[in-house]
Amino acid sequence: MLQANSIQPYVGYIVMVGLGLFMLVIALAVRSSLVRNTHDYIIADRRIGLGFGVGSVIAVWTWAMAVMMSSGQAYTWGLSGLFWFTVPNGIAVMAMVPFALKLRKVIPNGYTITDFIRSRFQNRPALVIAVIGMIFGIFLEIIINLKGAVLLMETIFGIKEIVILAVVILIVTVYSYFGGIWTSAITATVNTLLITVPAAVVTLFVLYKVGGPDVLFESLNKQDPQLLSIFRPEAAASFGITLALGLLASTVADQTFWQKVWAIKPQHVKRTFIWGGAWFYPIPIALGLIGLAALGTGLKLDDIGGDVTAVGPYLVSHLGLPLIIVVLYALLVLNACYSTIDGAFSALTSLVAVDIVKPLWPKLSERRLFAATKLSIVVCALVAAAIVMSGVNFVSLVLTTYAIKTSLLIPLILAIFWPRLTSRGFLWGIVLSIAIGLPVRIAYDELVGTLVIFGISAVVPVIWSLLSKEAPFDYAVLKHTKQLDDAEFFAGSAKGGPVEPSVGSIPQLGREV
Amino acid sequence: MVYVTISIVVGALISLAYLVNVWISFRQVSRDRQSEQRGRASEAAVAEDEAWFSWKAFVSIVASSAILYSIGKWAFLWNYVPFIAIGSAVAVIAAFTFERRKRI
Repeated sequence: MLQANSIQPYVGYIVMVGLGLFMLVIALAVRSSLVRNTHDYIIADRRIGLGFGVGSVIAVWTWAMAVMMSSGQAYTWGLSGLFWFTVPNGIAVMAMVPFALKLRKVIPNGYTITDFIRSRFQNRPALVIAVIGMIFGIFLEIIINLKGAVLLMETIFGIKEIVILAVVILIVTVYSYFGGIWTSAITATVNTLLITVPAAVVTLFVLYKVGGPDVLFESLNKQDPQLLSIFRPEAAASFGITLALGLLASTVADQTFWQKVWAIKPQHVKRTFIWGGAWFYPIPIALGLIGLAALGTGLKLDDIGGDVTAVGPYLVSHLGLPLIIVVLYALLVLNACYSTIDGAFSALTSLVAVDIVKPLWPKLSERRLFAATKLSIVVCALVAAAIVMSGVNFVSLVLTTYAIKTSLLIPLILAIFWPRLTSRGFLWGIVLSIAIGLPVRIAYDELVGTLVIFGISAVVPVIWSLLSKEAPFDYAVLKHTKQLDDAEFFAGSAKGGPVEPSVGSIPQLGREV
Repeated sequence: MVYVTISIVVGALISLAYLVNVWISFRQVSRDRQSEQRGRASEAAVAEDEAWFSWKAFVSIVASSAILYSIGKWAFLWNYVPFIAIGSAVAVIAAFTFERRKRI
């Protein structure tokens, strides 16, 4: 049934560059119509509607690796793998709703979650660790998606790793540079179309080519009836529970999502995350069938080089499918890759503008702030490319980022909802959970390490805060703090007036320059 | 092959409708932006009180679990399940439509 893959590399180049040029055209159109200053660039003037909101949330949450991992987990564990991969993913997006509603109400003019931490605690170490966590998280998103693109393009088109990395990072950097979050939202909405429709067509073609569902169903039943059950406890224990907890940290403790919380029109915030999470589900479910098809055809892990993530690209490129179907699959994964990297770049710009550049250089003019914000994308792209191209094993980066983000989750939730949480409770909860949990995770296993991190990050802040005599925090302070308009802000800056760049006192970043 | 053909035809039609909606919404946002430039600067609107719980979220979790359970029971469903991916594109179209109706 499987055939040699004879697809030429030039097809892969056309797909990568063609998609990039298409996105660039959209980005240029968006830039000329919608982006005039830093405020538009990093927060879209808080005018993103429901359509672009839902479309972009689905695309940003659909990582290239996730597209392939849905097939990979189905291949490894059968339907239980697909269940534990799929269900927590959608929940993680929808779980943003209570936090988003609370903070959008408390801080209507917010920009970043780290700015909330600054205002809530006025504690520099807590802020620094949160900013580092967010930036590491953004790097991780970019690097994992680059690796996803490499795996896809190497498996299907045989293009060299370094070439794929250079082309992808260049393309996404160029089009992200032009429009900020408006570009990200609109291109990601188009990306969603190019993920969802091809997912259906390619999966159905694969099912047809391998003999149809009945043949596969019978084969899987013969191999092990448990492959067709969603209730295998091994899948939950080996990766399901850890993934579910980690995914929550990947949304609630991630600026990519918080940027959208403040960029979307307030009346659409709840609906955007509910619809985004709910309508993300069909993508991994459909693509998971490709993994079951690989399992049903008897594809061996050794045949695909031992990496289960490559099972989708391998099967699609070795079934003798029409070239257009293979290209559709490649486009699907590349769209997931481009949209997530673009979203990560966009989140980075808001962090850089609000949490780094403005606090360090409060008198910076709007024109320079805008330039510095855009330049951060180029710097980030260069660093990410250098990390991946250097060939270093970035396991330590992954582990550290994961530990910081996981340790941030519960203190962050407490900071949003529990007024008694103190800055020291917040800080020590994070520090101790990383210091103890990370070594445990390395020495023992993921599940134990994750539970230790969660446990410490929950217990320490609560006990510390209950023992403290500090008065409870008044969230109303954030809402009623004076809001400056831009003219006042930049005039104040020019005169050397006091500009504390924290939420509540942060101005609406520059409008027209 | 019937299912593949249907998915291509339905996918093409949905794609067309999707891109039209993206274009209309983009034009609308651009027009709004231009009118704001000529008039007042926009202000961040204040969010209204909303319940955080949503039955739709609960239903989507149950429905996706049920779909996964069902495809482990009945092989014929495998031919229909991939179409729900096109459903995601339809949901985005519905979001654009809902938004436009709210404006009127």
